[in-house]
Amino acid sequence: MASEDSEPQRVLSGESVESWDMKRHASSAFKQQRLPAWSPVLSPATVLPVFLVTGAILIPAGVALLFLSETVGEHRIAYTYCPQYFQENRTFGERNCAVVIAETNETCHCAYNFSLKRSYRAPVFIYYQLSNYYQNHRRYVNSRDDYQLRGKLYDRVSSYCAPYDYDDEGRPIAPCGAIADSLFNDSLRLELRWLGHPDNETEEDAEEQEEQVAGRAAPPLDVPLPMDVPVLRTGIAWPSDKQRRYANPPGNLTAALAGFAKPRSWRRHVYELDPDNEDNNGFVNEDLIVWMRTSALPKFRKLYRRVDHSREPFADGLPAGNYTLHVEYNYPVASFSGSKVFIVTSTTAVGAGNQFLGAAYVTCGCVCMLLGAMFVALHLRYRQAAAFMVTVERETPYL
Amino acid sequence: MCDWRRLPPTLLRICSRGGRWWRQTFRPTPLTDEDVETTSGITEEVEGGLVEHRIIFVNRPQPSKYCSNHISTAKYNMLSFVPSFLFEQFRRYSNIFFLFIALLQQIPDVSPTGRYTTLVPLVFILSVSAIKEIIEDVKRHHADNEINHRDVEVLRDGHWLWIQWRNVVVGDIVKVHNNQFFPADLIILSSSEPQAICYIETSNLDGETNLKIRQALPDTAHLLETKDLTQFTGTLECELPNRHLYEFTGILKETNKQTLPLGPDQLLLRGAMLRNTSWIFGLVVYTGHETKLMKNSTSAPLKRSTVDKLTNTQILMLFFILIVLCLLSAIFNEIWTKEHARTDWYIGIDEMINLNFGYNLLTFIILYNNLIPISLQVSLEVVRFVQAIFINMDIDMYHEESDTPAMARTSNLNEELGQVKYIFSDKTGTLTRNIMDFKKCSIAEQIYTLADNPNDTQLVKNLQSGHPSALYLREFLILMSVCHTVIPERSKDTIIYNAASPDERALVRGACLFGYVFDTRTPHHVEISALGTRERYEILNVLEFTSSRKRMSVITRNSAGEIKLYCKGADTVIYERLSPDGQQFREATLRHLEEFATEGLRTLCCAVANISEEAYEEWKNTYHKASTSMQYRERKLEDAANLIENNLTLLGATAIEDKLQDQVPETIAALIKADIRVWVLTGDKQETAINIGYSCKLIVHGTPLLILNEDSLDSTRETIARHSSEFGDQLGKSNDVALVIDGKTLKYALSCDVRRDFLDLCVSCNVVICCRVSPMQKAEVVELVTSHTKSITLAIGDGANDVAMIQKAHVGVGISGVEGLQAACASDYSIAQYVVVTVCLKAGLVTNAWTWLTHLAIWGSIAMWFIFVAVYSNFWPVIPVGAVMLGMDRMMCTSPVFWLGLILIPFSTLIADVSYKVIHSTAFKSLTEAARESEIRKTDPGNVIMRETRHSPLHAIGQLSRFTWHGTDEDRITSPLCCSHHRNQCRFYTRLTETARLLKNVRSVFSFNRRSATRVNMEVELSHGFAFSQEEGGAVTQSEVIRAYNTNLPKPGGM
Repeated sequence: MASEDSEPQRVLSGESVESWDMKRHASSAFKQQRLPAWSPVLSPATVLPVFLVTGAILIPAGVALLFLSETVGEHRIAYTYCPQYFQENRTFGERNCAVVIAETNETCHCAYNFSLKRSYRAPVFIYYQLSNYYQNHRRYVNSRDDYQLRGKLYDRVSSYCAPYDYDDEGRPIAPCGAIADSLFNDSLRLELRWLGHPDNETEEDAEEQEEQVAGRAAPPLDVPLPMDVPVLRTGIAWPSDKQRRYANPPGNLTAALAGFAKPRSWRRHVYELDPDNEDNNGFVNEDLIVWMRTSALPKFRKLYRRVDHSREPFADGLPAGNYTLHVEYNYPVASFSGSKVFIVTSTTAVGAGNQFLGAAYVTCGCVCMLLGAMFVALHLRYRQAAAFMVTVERETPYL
Repeated sequence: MCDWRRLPPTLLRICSRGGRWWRQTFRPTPLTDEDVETTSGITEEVEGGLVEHRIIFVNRPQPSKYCSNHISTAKYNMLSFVPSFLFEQFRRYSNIFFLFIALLQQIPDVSPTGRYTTLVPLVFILSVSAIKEIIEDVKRHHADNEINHRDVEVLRDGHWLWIQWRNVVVGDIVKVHNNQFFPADLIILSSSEPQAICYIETSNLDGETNLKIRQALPDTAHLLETKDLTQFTGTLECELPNRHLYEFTGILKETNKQTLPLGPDQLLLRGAMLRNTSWIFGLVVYTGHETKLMKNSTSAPLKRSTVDKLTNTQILMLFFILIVLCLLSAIFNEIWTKEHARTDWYIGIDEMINLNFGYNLLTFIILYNNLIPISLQVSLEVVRFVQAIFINMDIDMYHEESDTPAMARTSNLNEELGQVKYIFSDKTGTLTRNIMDFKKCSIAEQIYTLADNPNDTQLVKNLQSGHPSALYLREFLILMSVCHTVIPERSKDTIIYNAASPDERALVRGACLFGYVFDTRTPHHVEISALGTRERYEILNVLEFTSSRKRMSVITRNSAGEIKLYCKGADTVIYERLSPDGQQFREATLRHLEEFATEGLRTLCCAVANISEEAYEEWKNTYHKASTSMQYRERKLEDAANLIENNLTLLGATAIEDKLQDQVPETIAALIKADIRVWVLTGDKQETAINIGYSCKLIVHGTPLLILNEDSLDSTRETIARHSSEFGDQLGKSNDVALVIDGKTLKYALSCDVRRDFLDLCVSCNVVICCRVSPMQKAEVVELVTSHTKSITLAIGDGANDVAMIQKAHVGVGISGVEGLQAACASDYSIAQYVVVTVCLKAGLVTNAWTWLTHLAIWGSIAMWFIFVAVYSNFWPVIPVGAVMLGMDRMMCTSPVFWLGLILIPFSTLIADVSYKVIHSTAFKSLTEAARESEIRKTDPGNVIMRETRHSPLHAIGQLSRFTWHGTDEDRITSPLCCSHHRNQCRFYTRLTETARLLKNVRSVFSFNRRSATRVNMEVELSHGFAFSQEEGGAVTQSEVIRAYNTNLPKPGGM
């Protein structure tokens, strides 16, 4: 009975027979982790050309970018504390508009004369820039009702809109929320006063000093001057926003919004935002859409208007000459030490003027070149050393 | 059976009393007063504390209900899964944190982020872990089921029924057949063997290789048939279940008979296996989780890798930073709000309701919660899971014969594998196969090996051709076939040898292969068939083996009436007993012994002595007197044996191979090369352990051995201190010294005040061998190293005795396949063979090569980002999230600035990294990089190594050895190249290491010469590879066993 060396009785041997070959896994390269591999060995000799080539590409690219951004024309006018200007009698008031708006909460007018020493190539855009303005505040960012903005009107608005959700009579506000309520409502009008040729520029024009006195009229050419620079109020928002994120309720806009109050800070209803273009009213008004895309930083610029290049003399862009900026000052920022800047600018192939990118390219390229040069030195030194070592005799005794 | 060495004195007394009682009843003598005292002593205890005892009624229903024999090692069951799983998961700080965040996010108006941004990933992590746990636990359930559903024969209502293990209950009488595990802790009632003895193999429990003998009480030995058993009634009282493997006290009270004491000699433990015995009848005393085996198993601790612990503490730290950040933010928010509230009309703060500080704080916590990355947990979990799959799939770790692939049972320790510094290995079953084979012998100055046929061997040829040494050859073969305590058993044409000692069995089988077949044993004779002629020897006396005697002898009388003493044992004890004219082969045999020992074979010296009738008669009286003396019997017997074991004539030596597992020496060599310390922890004898150390190349010839054999705390402390001081400033560094310590000394060495010094000493030695250690001691040693050194430890074993150690180590590896799945079940990784360990460890190494997968991951993740942006930018209004993201893709992609930035940013950020690496690899090149580089350039890495040697001044030996070490490390990487193409370099290289080795030896001579004096005796003996394993002080002595057998009589059938 007793058998030596015999295997102990296997009670479940049947099962193990069944699973024969099941436990053994395929010997594919993947499963056995024997895939062909590439292991980069970083030595000066291999890295050197990469660095030099990278440098050689980056530096010219950076220079090109810098050059491009140089060609961009940009004119800025900070008008936060602009003096009140009475259009009727063309005189300036005692106070600046910041004070006027704070005290009376009435529209304040002001005007700036400026000249462009060279013409800006089309397309030309007009921006407004706000600073010390926290559009990124956590509550502010959320304070909107996305459904309402898509034209789905309900009596109840999103709780995120509070405290800009209902007016004193309990009517829901449309559009509700802090963002919409604080819509930028200055109106900026650009007037061409004098169309000058680049050769005729005077020395003081070159300095681009803002002239306080209007009416030093220049000889008109073939266009009646002064004339307003024609601008487009559409095409300034993201197409996706306009098409998919914002929509008006179906039917008559005014009727649909009958039960809704206008935001408290607004002077007009949402369906009256663009008096000229019926389609640019309501929630799809592009000024509103642009404003609703909250900015990430407290200093930001937003697209205000596009110059309409379909009419002379603006077909090629904004011609050099003397201009007047007329501001209908409604938007108070002085209370929180904010500032407002009017910007007129052209663009390039790589977007608006951007010195940083070009500078970064050049810097990076220079670093690459420098390191490349260093590796050349390293390589030369250590290659020599290695060669020296190989000449050591194999039979050299070691002790 | 009592193991005298391990028990506290009180128990020792009980055991010896029991033992003596035993022997007296064995020769049917009436009970002495002392025995009555013993018995009544126990009864008093019973009366003193009745609750403390368990009373089992034999062949009657049990009045009280006991634990069922169903065992479960699984972590969860259906009901407990959810709570215990969640408890386990939320012990991780990160999970608590994420839960906290997820709950916070549910509060409207507090969260600046979406409601489900944390909850969804958290649920994902938890479900992945849950699935993993379930799969692992199902496997455990399966393993348990396999055990619970094993069948055993049980006597129920007078009939034998095959029932499943789980249905066995206390009080059942079971019949266990040969080579079967015991289903529960049993009291042996009777067996197929004479005098109701049986052999059990306990290697699974204590790691000892030799078989142990258990014997039933003579009063129950007659219960050989079913009807006897059914009529057998009585009660059995025994102690409550406990975890002491070597202790048991109980009393058996057969109806209308005297009470009988039961001791460990009658106890058959679950986990042990019946061997060399056709069947036994046993009475179940402890079942299921109350068995001693299960009592010894501790629940698997939750092992966590260093990375896990690190992330856990870092998460705590991050949480602290987070809180500070949030507090600061909330304070500044307060200040900002105060300043801006009046002026910033557009925000409408004035009218805000929730302007309190606490609310803001919560908001910031949610806002910043990404500081504690939830993705870290997810990716770690996923990476490990995939790694585990790769481990399971690895064909290098697949064992063809047993069809077992490696299995990663817990995947969260994968990264530990590459950092293992200490490996604790069990011996039996792990390093060795527990199979002893006769390999060769040296007789009369000549080495003989085996052949396919006895007649083909040189030995038999010499014997038959009348070679001058034929006489010695004959004596040697007679010794091999007669001088032992093996019981032969004929089954059909083959003879099966049942032996308590695997060495003896190997010898007898060896003799068989030389044509000397031992086939019959009667109480006073053995019969052999010597090359066809039957010879009969009367066994006059058996002088048993003990570890102090290191030899065993048999006195025989052949058919011619000549009395001869055959003796085999360690060379030291045999050599000092040689007669002046019996020393003819002394030198040659010694040489051969050394040769055998170098190969790691277990050697025994063989000698014979002729004894005259008169001398024998005289000695017989002395011996009889000694064996009947009342005092110091054992010493007297030893002295008596000494008298006759004299004037021996040396015949030669035998060499037995303790078969190693496949490629163990190679594996060990690789591990040692990788600077991994290998410790062997075994329950086996010191000699055996050292022998294995040699045979698996753990110890090489010339390695100094430090042997710690002390029997008191003071001497242990003193010895450790002495050895430590001898190391001097080499203490704590790696020295090429092997430390051997036995379980008893270890007990002292692990006591509080010595353990620190002991550890220092161990760490200073490259190899540590602990022998005769109990499972708990194994665990203690592992724990000592694990907790006191900062290194990662790995324990590997196969039996139940290794479970504790496997659970204590950082990484536990179980060998699955052969028998007993306990170790594999408790382990973190289970493999089929020891050789796989290296592959397993390699799995943890870092790779910085790029495969197509790496490319896929890099470019794929960039592509994924674009796809994600594209998808996310189009959610609104179809899916009501991400209104602000609407149209972002178009705006981004049409912006030249974005594309220009996309080119610039990777370049500018990588410049620093690449330059650092280039400079580092050029100016401060590591040897690995240099070798790899030159390999890529298709040049000779040997140059690089050579260059390195130029750099390092080789005056100091220490540095040289470090260099050699460096070189070996390198060798691993470049070896294929080195060996195939550049012989010249290799030669140079070998020469270099050889020099280093020589120098190291010089150093060891210097540093160890003082110690050599204390060590010399031991070393000489050990270097000759003596090893012999046999049970000592067992229930029945070997001479009693052989006297009990008559192989000419049939055994009882047991039905």
